[in-house]
Amino acid sequence: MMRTRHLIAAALLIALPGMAAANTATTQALQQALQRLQHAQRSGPPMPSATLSGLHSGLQMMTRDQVNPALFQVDQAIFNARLAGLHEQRQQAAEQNRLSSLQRLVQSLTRQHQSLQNEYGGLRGQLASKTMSGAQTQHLQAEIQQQQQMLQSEEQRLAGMAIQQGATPIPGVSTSPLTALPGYGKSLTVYAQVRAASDGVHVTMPVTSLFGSDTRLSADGEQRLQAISGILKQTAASEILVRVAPQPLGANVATQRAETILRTLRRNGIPDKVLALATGAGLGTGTAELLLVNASPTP
Amino acid sequence: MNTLWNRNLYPRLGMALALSLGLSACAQMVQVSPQQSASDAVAVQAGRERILALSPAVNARQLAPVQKALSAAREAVARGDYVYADRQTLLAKVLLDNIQTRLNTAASSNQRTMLKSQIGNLQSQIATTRQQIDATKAQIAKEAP
Repeated sequence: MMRTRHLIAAALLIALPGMAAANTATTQALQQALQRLQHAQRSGPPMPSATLSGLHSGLQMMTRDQVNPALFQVDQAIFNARLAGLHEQRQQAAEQNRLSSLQRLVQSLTRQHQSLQNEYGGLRGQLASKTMSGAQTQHLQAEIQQQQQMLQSEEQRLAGMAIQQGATPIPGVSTSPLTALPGYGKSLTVYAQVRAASDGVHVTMPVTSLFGSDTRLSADGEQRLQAISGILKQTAASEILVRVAPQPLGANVATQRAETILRTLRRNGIPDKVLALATGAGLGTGTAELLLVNASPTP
Repeated sequence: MNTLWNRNLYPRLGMALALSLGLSACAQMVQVSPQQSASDAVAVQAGRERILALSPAVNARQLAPVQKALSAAREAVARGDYVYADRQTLLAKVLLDNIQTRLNTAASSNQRTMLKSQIGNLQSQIATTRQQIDATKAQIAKEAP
C-alpha cells in the first residue's frame, strides 16, 4: 500500500509541469483513472504485482502524453483495458478457488469411498467365514439328528422286545413288528440284531460286545455267547455259520475271533456238526454274525 | 622464445582485426530498423489474434477492438509514427491478454461442472456402499449362532 502511494505521488510529481500546460479534459481523465485504480485496490483482494506495475506505468504514460491527445487516448484505452484485465484476473482467481475447493472435496470423497470399500470387503470376508462355519454346524447337527434317529429306532426295537417278554412297553415308543421272525428270534434280539432272510436267520452283534482288544472273549462276551447258545439249542438249525468282519483289525484277527466264538458255542452245548466257520467278507465293519441256515422254530 | 612470440604476433593481430570487423558487420546486419521492429511487434499480436479467432469460445465482438488497434498500429507504421504504433500494439496486447484470461476462466468453469458431476457420482457410490455394508452387517448378525 505504501509503495502504491509512493508511486502515485511520483507519477503526480512528474505530471505536475505537464498538467499546467494540458487542458482540463485530460486532467479530469487522469484524475478519474487514479480514482478508479484506488477504488479497484480497495474493493478487492491485493492485486498481483505485475498487474499493479502495469497500471502504474499506464498512469505514467497518460501523465506524460497529456500534451499529445492522440497518444493520450490510446494510453487511456490501455489503462481501461488493464483495469478490465484486473477484473478478469480476479474472476479467474475466484473460479480457481472454487475449483480447488471442489477438487479437495473430490479427494476427500474418494478417500471416504475407498475406506468404505475396504470396510465392505472386510465384512464380506467375515460373512463368508461365518457362512462356512454355519455350514459346518449344520453338518454336525444333521449328524446328531441321524444318531438320534438311530437311537430312537434302537429304543423302538427294545420296546418291541419288552412287549415280547411281557413287560410294559416304554411309553411313547411304538413297537416294530417282529412277526416275521420265528419265536426264538425274538428271544435273540435281547443279545443281538436278528434278521430273517432267504438264506437263513442272520444274528448280528458288534464285535466289541464280545471281545476286548485281542482275540480273547471278554467276561461280558462270554456270558452273552452262553445265553445265545442256550437259545440256539432250541433251534433246529442244520448249520450255523460263524462270521467275523475283517475290518478293522484284519482277516487274521477276524478268523481267530470267529474260531473263539465257534469254540465257545461248542463248549456251551451246540453240536459240533452244525457249526462251521465262514468268511466275514461283506459284513459291516466291527460286526460278528451267526447265520442260522434253514433254521426253523421249535415249539 | 622471444622470436617465437614475435613471429606469432602478426598473425594474431591480423586474426583479431578480422574478428572485430566480422563481428561489427554482424551487428550491423542484426540491428533492425525501427520500422521493422514496429511491424514485427504488430505481427506478433496479429498472430495471437488469428489463433484466438479460431477458438469457438471467442466471438467476433470480443476481437473487434483488437483488430481496430492492430490496423491503427499498421497505419501508424506506414506513416512512420512508431511511438503511436507501439502504443496501439500495446493496447492490442492487453486486450488479447484479457481475452485469454477469460478463456482460462471458462475452462476452469467447465472443469468445475465436471467435478460437480464427479462429486455426485462419488456421493451415490458412497451411499450404495453404505447400504451394502449395512446389509452385510445385518446378514452377519443373522448368521451368528
